[in-house]
Amino acid sequence: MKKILVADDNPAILDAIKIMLEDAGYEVETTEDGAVAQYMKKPLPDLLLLDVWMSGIDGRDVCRHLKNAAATKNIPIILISATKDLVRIAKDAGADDFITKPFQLDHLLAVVAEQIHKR
Amino acid sequence: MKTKRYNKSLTSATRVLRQTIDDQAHTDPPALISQASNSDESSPTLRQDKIIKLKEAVTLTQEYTNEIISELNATNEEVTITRDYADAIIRTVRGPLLVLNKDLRIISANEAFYSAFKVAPTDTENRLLYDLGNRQWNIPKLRVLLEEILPEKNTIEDFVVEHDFKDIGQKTMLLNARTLRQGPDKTSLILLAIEDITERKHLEQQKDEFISIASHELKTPITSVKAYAQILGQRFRKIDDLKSTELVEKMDLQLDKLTNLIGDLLDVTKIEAGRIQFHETYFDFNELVVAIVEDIQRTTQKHNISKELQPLIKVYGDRDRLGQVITNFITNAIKYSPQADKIIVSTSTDKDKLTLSVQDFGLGLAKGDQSKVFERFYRVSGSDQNTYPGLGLGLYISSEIIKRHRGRIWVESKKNIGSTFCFSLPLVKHKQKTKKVHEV
Repeated sequence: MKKILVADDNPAILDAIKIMLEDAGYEVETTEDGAVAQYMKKPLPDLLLLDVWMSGIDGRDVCRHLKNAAATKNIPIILISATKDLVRIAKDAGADDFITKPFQLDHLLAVVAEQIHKR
Repeated sequence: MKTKRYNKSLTSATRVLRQTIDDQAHTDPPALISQASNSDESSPTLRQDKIIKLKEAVTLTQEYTNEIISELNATNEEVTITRDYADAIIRTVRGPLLVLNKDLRIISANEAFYSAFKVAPTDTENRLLYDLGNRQWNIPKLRVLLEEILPEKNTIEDFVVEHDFKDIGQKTMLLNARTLRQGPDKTSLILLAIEDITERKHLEQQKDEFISIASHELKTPITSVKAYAQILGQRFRKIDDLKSTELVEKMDLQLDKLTNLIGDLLDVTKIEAGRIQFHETYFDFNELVVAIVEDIQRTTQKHNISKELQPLIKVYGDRDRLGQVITNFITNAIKYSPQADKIIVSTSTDKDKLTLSVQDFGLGLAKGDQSKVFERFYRVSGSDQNTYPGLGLGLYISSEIIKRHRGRIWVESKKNIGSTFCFSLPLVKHKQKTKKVHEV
């Protein structure tokens, strides 16, 4: 079973995404505080869904950091945010894809599936 | 006062003259009169007549003089009233106001100027504007305004100058200036009104930030509600509960509307702050039109949206933002044609531009409303439009998006017949090598 890590500081969004992904057959881990690093040990997640603005933590920095580290650079990262400028933000941070909030369930699953199977 | 002095000297001159005549009347032979007349020097009756005539003349002169003096006094009073009036205006105006001569030397300033810029009249009057308070008014943008633009145009309105003043800090000022020609020699005076808009700008910034944060905060709960609704929808579908599935889908559509409203608010603040960003790529315009029409067609049973699309070359622009404009046109067409069942979306092209039009057969717009519909917050007023919901932002945002694409937006409409909203975009021959299509 593919494992997905979801980082978002909003518990309701985290909960809903967890249900969506579990219904679709993924194993899901969630973190509210954006401290993604502690989850980056073996077995590594197969994909990271990362909120851009988390309380006190900038998702773009987290993304850049993971993409620059040898151990984690191959994990697909999808940024999620309510900002309309997400296209540029995702590109600048080196993310593999992005999802704008509020999102469609079908779109979320399609983007996740595409990134996981790319690997 | 000049008039008083004239009055005094004229009166005394007349008095001297009268005295002289009186004296001569009792002198024999009167030297003055004999010099003035050539005949009958010795006739006392005739001499007496002349004296009477002279007296009359002097009296008349005195009367004329009095008349002139009273007229002068009246004029003087008028001048004083006018000057007091002008002075009162300058003093009453709450914004700083300067009166300069053509060399930009300060003739006078009002109280508001002294208090706003923390300067004294003695350090201000008769000084050159640029020399005031450590040359703090020596602002390059202001120099261009006063030395180059004003002499040519004579009037300047709402010119924004930002400057960091030594005593009062960073200020944003709105300047209005006017040249006045005065007197027979037409010497020019410059009126310079300064409005401090620092606080207003600051408040506007705060408002923009607030709306930006509020929009983001509002989107967070919507995201989760929408997500839960979709999970429910999926679960109902799995157990073939079609009725419940339909209800949840309706809920989801309403959430999309709410999201769009919030998006509009956010877009407006971005436009106002000049922070709206475009992600331009080459894309298939007709394909975008087809996708949007299909999406919207799904939400309406009443209207049939037909397409009349001409083949187009690829268009360079922000696909999402242009899509937003097309969506706005079509949803407006539906909204404002409740009695009709047809909407026509068409694209056409000529050698250097493409045009998109959305035609409806609805309420139409009165001539007076046609140019205003693209203004911010504008909503068509009138009894029949009162019930139509909306923030009055959609077409404003659309027109800003089209303007930023160097395009043109307009409407052709007839009241009670229908409207056709159009925009055109310049077509640029694309070079795929130089501009890489960004796809994430």
